[in-house]
Amino acid sequence: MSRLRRSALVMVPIVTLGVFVGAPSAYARHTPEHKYSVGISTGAADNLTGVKVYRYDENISAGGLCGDPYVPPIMFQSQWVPINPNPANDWIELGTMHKTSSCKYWYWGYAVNGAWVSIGTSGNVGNAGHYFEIVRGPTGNTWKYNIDVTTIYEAPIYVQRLGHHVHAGLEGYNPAAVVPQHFYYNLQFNVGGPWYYWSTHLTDVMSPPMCGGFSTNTLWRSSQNSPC
Amino acid sequence: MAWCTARRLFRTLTVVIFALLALGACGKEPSAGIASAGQTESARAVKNDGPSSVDACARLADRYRGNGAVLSGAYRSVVSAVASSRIGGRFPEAVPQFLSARLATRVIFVCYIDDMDLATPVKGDAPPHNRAVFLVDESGEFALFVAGYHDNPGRPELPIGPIA
Repeated sequence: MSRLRRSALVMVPIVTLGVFVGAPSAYARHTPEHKYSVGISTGAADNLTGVKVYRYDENISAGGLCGDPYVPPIMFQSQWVPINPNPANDWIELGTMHKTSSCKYWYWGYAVNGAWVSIGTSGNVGNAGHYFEIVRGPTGNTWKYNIDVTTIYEAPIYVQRLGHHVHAGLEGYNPAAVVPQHFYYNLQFNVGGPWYYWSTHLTDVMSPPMCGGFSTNTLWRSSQNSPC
Repeated sequence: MAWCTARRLFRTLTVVIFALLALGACGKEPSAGIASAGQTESARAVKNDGPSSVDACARLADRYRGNGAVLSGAYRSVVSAVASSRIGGRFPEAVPQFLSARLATRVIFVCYIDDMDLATPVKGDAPPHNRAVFLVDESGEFALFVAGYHDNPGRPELPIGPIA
């Protein structure tokens, strides 16, 4: 299957999906169903400049094989900032893409008018906790993708648009997968530099068989085909 | 005797006809603008700029044939041109790391793959993307570049074309 280049340095991105070796993909054809279990903060709407979450890269099996990022079945632990009044059009996104319980990738990119632009993916992701952060750069012309204290990419995106809402949670393309309950801690949003904990103006989006909810204002939980 | 001669003549004629048919088939070359990629995609026209592009992209499409992949476009370009393109409305200043990791003059094939199962991020009630643009280098390494839509009412069309 896909032979991915590995790096000894965790923070060095691995950007190649694969090379043409071995047999073609063995994934069975299926039409992916897209499901959500996402917490949303609408506080400071239209003035948002970032979202920050502390969470573990869970060991989630999406039901497929390792390799071939963006080919289903896949589950995502994700967070994103819509920068358009229509949230399905333009946004900035950072997250973890799960293939098997031991095979996961960090991914980062953005969407323009509904089209996804992939900037990079990185393998060698283990089962550890990290701060994941999307934040607008000080000049206002970039968005930074940060994991812990490392900026993995700073994207020059020259639109003078701020975030309308901020989102974090589980997203996926396999409704049959079992995803045990897991948590998104210390939920924060950014307004022009300072970080604020999510407090009021909270809402959620869930599509069965996914489940989720706010355990506290700053703690979101998600699951699928597992206790809620 | 006459019967044997007739049979021999019939056999000879049959061999000649098959030989002519075979020669005709071998002499056909794909046209410059349209070619079919892969034996099972004979009915699908692939927009392209030459056989090397079609070959490189057909290998990728073959990899994902089990996921419904259909090759729709195949073009040859270089890293610097792809990086500066605005395909899909992307910001050329934000260079994907597949490109930034390669020399500006290195050849890149731009492959348009339709209708394969894709698990790319979409939001709201948007349907899954059904057109993917992959980048393939001459060694066969590849990465997803942009995912969008084709023939999907209400969704912007991700056009197929060369990146010069």
